[in-house]
Amino acid sequence: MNYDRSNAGVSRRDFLKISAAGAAALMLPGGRLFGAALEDSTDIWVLHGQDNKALMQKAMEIIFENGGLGKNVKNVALKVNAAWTRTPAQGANTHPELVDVFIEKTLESGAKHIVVPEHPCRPGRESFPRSGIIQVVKKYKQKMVDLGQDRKSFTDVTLPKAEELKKAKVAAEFLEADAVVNMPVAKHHSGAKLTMAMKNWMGAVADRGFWHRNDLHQCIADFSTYMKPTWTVIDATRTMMDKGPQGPARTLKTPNLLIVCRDQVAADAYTSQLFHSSIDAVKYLRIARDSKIGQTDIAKMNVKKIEVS
Amino acid sequence: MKLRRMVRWLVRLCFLALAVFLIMGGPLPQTVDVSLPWLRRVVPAVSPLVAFSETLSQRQWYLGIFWLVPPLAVLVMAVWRGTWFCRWLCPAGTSYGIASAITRWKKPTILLRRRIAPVLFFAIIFASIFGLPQFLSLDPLSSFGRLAGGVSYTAAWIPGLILPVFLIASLFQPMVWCSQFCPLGYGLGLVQSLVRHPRKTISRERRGILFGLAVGIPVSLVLPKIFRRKTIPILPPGAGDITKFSAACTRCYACVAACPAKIITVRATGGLSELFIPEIDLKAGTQVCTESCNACTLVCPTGAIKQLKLKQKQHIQIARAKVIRENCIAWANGATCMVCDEYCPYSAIDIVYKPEDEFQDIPLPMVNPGRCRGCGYCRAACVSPNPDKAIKILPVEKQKKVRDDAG
Repeated sequence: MNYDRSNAGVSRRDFLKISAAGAAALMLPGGRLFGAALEDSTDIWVLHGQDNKALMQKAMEIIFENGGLGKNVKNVALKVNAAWTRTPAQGANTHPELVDVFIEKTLESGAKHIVVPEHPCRPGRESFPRSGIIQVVKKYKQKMVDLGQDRKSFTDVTLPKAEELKKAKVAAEFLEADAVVNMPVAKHHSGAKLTMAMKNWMGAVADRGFWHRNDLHQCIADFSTYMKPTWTVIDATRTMMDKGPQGPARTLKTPNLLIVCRDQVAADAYTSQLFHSSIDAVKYLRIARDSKIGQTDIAKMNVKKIEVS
Repeated sequence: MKLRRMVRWLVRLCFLALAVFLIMGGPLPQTVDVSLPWLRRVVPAVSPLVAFSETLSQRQWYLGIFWLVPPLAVLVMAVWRGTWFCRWLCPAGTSYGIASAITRWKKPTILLRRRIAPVLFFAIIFASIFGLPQFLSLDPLSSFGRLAGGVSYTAAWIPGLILPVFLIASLFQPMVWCSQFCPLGYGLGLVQSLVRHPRKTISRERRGILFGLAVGIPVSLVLPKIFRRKTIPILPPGAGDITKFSAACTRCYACVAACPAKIITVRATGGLSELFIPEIDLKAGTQVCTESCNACTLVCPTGAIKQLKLKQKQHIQIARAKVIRENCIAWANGATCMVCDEYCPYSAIDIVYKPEDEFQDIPLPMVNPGRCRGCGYCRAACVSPNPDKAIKILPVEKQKKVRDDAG
């Protein structure tokens, strides 16, 4: 959901509740909301630097200079990737240093609660500590939710613009938050070819198997018509070039990049360049282009490259 | 005298309670944030008969210094005080003692006059020399431990019945197990008298020795060859192969009890020497032999399951996965899936594409047999709507070490 542009007087929480009731198409001019990113040139910040914490501090500066997380934001939900029992250096999960700075700066900005729900692929009791993320979340006395164990928050929603994934059970933490930030890690993925921001939402739903059985790429694109985070920060500090999503990778590159954008589709399209010469290589990006879910044309993006030392 | 008897009962009951605690592997208080799987090993590992016979049959020292101490201590005590262990510490003996106490008020019924313990003892020793310690499952400490692990599996009831049956028998003939059957108790008594009067003891026990020879050697040579099945089971990591494993296993089921995923079950079929061995059952496809667990290798008191560090366990191939293409939504329906590969902790699933797939949108899974450990993650993760799923886990003849750089 684009906070800066949508002054319709409908909060994110209300919007999602309405769309959960299936009435979104009537209440909101969908074309304006979702099409906005396509009309203007999309701002995208690409930060380069060796120090993860400095990178993330710069990213948070950019976020707060450009509208922040919204007005009177108290509850923030952060979608990381902590699905695998792998160390931060292996690049299968979001780097905990980025999460650290995000929580620190978000709390400083006046948010009261930050919740980090994740539906991991390995038992959360193994993957969360190995990822290093739960330690960081606990350091700031915030909450990390293991959706694999604690399934009661999964809430039925309908996705009015979806082709395949018309219904899903989504973790209520994301539906009820005032602002949602998507902070995935970019890496190779054997099924979807690449996983970045759009695919990261598979860790917010109850039944991932449905996606696989019913056109994975279409479902990934479908969910992005529904879940529009306030900001997307893609961790490309180190990228698994093969053997994803779990690794360990045979080729681990260190682009040392953070990609910051409001439009997660644009962020994915830009980041895909690290792996493939064209977005055509990734089917869900082709679908996103054809269905205009977000900006996929890099030429139409206002790319701001920033060196962080 | 009365005080001495009371003290002895107090000590025995305390050790019985301790033994129950140990074979249950706790329960440890919730505040203790570690699980100690080796607790389950303690009771069956105390038996010097198990330690001695296993070392004989495996022809190697399988015990570390730490695990050598308890059986050695019992043995040393036996030299000095004979069956002292039976009368003070043995949890099975204490259980029988409680049942036998009831017969104090009525006239005992003698069920068995002859003592067959010498035959059992020597049969175990001679069978062990020939590589198959078959009757070792009669060891009272293994019988006692069996109560924790075996009860959930029907096949385990038969070996598991030893303790309950003799508890009932003790109601008629007091201490019938300990006096007439127990090979461990007999062995401990024998050690003492051997040290004191070697010549006299051997001539007194020659009947038992001869019978033991007559039973033990044929059993160790013939039994493994009878009723062997073509199908082989999946064995716990470190078990090697079925012949070695079924020979060394005393059926204490410590591994069955210790497995947190509850995938180690008790095998109902197989040849005579393979009866009731523990096996890994991945058919349900819900649980896996996870790479972060080596519990079963830490609890085995006999070395039937070799003690493995986590790193070593992660490189043992216990089985192999096979994709059933007709059931696979990628191979059969052209879906984009590869969940099997996502969940594989060992990168053992390779991706292939059909030549007509221009953008390579539909990756197809192929198991790399050089890397597959047979842990079952792929089967558990498989989202195929077919109830059989699209991945089978097949047993391997012999467990082998997988190199990290393989394939």
